[in-house]
Amino acid sequence: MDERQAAEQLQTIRLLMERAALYRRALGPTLVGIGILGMAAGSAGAAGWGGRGARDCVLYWTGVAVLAVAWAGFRVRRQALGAAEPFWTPPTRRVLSAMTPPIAVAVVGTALRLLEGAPPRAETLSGAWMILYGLGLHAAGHFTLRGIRLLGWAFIAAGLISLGVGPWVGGPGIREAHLAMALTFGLGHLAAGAWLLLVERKRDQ
Amino acid sequence: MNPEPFLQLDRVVHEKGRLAMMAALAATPELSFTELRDLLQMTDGNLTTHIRTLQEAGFVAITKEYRDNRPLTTCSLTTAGRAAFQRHIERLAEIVAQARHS
Repeated sequence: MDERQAAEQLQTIRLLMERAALYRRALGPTLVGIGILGMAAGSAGAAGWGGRGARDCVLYWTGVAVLAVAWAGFRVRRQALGAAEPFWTPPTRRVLSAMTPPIAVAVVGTALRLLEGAPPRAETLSGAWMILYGLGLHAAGHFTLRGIRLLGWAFIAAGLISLGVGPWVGGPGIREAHLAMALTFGLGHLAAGAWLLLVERKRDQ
Repeated sequence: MNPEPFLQLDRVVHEKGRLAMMAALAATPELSFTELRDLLQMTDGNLTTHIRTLQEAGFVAITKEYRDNRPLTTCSLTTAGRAAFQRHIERLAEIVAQARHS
C-alpha cells in the first residue's frame, strides 16, 4: 500500500462514517402528507374554522400539529416495519434530539403566554413558530438529507419576514396568520416533500 | 521508508469490504443487517461472509431477535473491534504522514 491508497482509504472511511450516521428513511411522503394537512388546516382556519381569537388559533394549530406528528410517526413506523428495522435507530434518535430543543421552546413559550392571560398576537405566534421550527429542521438537517437544512432556512426566513412585515401592515389579523401558516407549514412542506419524492425515486432506481 | 506501519496493518480489518463495515459500525452504536447491506451496497451472501470473519476475530457482535414477528439481525463493534479499527486508522495516517515527510 502506498501513500495515495492510504489517503484514499481514509477518505472512504470518513465518507462511510458520515453516511452511516445519517437518517435515511424516505421523508418525501411524510412531508407531502404534512403539507396537505397544513394547506387544508390553513385554508379552513382562514375561512373561519380556526376560531376567532389568538387562543383559538393556538389550540387549533396544536391539534393540527398533533395530527402531523401522528402521521409522521405512522410513516416512520411503517417504513421501519417494511425494512424489518427497529423504530428507534440511532439516526432517528439523533434527528429527534436535534429537533427537540426549539420545538420545546415553542410549546412551553406558547403555553406560558397563554397561562399569563395576555393573549399573544396571532402573527407574532405564527412567526415565532416558523423560526423555532426552522431552527429544529436546520439542526436535524445535519443528520439527514441536506435539503432539510435548506427547508429549515426557508422557515426561518419566512418567520422573520412574518414578524418584520406584521407591524408595517398595521398588524395582520387571525385570518392572515392562518394563511401564513398554510403557505409555510402547508405549501412549504408540500413543495419540499414533492422535491424529496423525486430525489428518493431517483436514488431507488 | 520505515516499513513498520505497513507490517502492523491487521489483515482482517484491511480487506476493503470489512473495513467499510467497520467504518460504518464505528459511526453508530449498532446497525441492522439490512441497513448495513443497503449502506454498503453488498449482496446478502457477501455481507454474511464478512460478518462471520469479523465475528470470528472478535471484532463484531451479532444480536438476533424477533421484532413484530420478523427476524432482526443487528451488528455492532465490540471493544476489541473498535480498538482494532482505531489502530488501523492510526497506521493509515502514519503511512500518509511518513510519505509526506520523506
